[in-house]
Amino acid sequence: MYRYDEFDRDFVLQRVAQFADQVRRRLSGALTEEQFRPLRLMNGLYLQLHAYMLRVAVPYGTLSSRQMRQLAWIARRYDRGYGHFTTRQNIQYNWPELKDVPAILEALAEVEMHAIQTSGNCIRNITTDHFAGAAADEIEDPRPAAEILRQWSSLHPEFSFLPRKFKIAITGAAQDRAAIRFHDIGYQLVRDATGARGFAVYIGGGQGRTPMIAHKIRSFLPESDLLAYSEAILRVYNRYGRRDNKFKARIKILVHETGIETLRSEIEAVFEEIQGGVLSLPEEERARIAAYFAPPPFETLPAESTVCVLQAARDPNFAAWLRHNTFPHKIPGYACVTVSLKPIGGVPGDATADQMEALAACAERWSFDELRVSHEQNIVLPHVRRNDLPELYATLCEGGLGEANAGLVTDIIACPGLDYCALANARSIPIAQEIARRFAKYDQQRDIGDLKIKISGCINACGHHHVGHIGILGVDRKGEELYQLTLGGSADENAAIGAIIGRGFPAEEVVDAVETLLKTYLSLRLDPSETFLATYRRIGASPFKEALYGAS
Amino acid sequence: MKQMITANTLVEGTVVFWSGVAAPLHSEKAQSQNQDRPSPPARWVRSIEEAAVFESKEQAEEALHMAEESVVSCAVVEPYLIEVTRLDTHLIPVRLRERIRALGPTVRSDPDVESAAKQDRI
Repeated sequence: MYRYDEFDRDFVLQRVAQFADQVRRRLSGALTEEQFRPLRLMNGLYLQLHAYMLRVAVPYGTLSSRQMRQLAWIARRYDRGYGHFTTRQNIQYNWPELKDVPAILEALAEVEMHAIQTSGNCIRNITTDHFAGAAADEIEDPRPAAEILRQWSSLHPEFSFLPRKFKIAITGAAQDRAAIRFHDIGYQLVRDATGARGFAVYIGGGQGRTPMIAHKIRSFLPESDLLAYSEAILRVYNRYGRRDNKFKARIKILVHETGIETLRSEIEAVFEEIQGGVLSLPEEERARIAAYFAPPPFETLPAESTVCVLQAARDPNFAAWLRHNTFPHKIPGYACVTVSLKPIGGVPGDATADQMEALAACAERWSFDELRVSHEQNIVLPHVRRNDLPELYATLCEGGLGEANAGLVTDIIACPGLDYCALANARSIPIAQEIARRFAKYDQQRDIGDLKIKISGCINACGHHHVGHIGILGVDRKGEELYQLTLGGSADENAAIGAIIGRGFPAEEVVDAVETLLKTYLSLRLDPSETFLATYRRIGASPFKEALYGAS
Repeated sequence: MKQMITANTLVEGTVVFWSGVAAPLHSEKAQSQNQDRPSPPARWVRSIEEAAVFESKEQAEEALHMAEESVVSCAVVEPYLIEVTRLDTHLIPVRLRERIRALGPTVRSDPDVESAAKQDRI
């Protein structure tokens, strides 16, 4: 588990005191909004449509029950009884009052949390696989490396004023659940022929108005060089990244304009200068940090659980949940559980304070006190005994958390959109709600199978529409919400950017359009095992285009 | 073209509208908790129904100039003009963004959150 050390404690407490003073000075009029804005953004505080919004960092998406309870307490005490889990594995509060924010930050500091580097042109919260340290297909837990990167990047003086924000993702498995090819830097943990740990390094991926798939610049970076190489990439970006145009300031544009080979040699040249210096990672330090993430005391269990199998035979709802919301664990007799925050008709990623407390209690009882926030806006209980799954499922259902839809058509990513966000051009959440209602029947969802629908309310793409199997982008056309559909995107190891299928649809027609796409898929797939994405890749866009717009 | 002035309060971030007349302070709670700072001009209201409507560009800009004094006095941040239009007997913002600002998110329905939201909703 992530462990706050004395450095973290000191700087977080200093920052809370500093920000409390800045808020006091703002409220007294000593600071203007112009002076205060960059200070509040450095502490994760935005001013959105209806209210302030506070974004809290969840390091690589890992939380303890105690932390989750505190998040619930804050939601109830200072917000409106709920929070919103984001595609960056963070949580956002939609209604805090400025005068309360210092107290909220104090409450977060009590449980070793903060809102630093959740905004601004700095290195943001490091994200990773939500099944890290648990997944059966993992080479190794990527979180020690994520923690090392977190410590290095926290308040890094050289990288506090980058040309633009900078996002790093890391995965420990070949199956990419962390979308590393859509980050400024993506690290994939690998082993070389001798069994030594290292990383394949990708740079220049991203979404937003100019989506790009990252380029691999190293097939194997020795683990001890992780920080030196990261520093080399950041130093080159900080020096050459464009500062004249906000929309061209991300490293993906630098890669695109400079060319990957030129940039690679620049990075390698800087790396050569600093390699072997203070940033080399000593093995004992790596081992000390890795010990924070030591596996919990797993029991020796049979791989299959009779209790679970019998319950699945008795209860089709449990069987459905077992099928979709559990993932193979590396230890026999255990499972990784995805708790869906996508109830039919609900707001994707929202959880009430009661639900957060219920999740904390479930984690305490059944998952060694651990929870994860997934970038798909669900909560993961990483280490659950298969024997306990029936009881866990029953408890989740009591809290409205038992939706059996992980990875299905109703497990939709949606940004807050125009219901909350000052940047949005159109609403996202109502479209997600309507799609979920349209496909609410489980048999229909199961028939459609694996599908990722992702919705953004503006071109900034917080809802990851570019990498949705079906992506939906809301735009403003002459004052009306209009939705463009993209097909074929994917954020995994077979990364692809979705292609626009044709003219957009008004809000009242977009769900029909999605249904048309899915009917087309069902009629054209080879067999039920061929997913929507596989079918699209096999037959291309034309049949879908024709179904939507008629023969050209 | 009819216009109104809107802003967010500094202390809470709440959406408010310029009423153009002296009225109770935009937030009594804020006043009681921030007695050490100067009182803002008491001309902001939470309800769009109570907002002043300007029929001409000149009127609107003159009022915006006055409203901007509330920025200096720390009552609100970033006041700006919005277009409104008549719908039956009500005036509503022309842009969807401003309608959502005036009425709140269109998406949550759980009773606890709804009732909490209504306490503050204009």
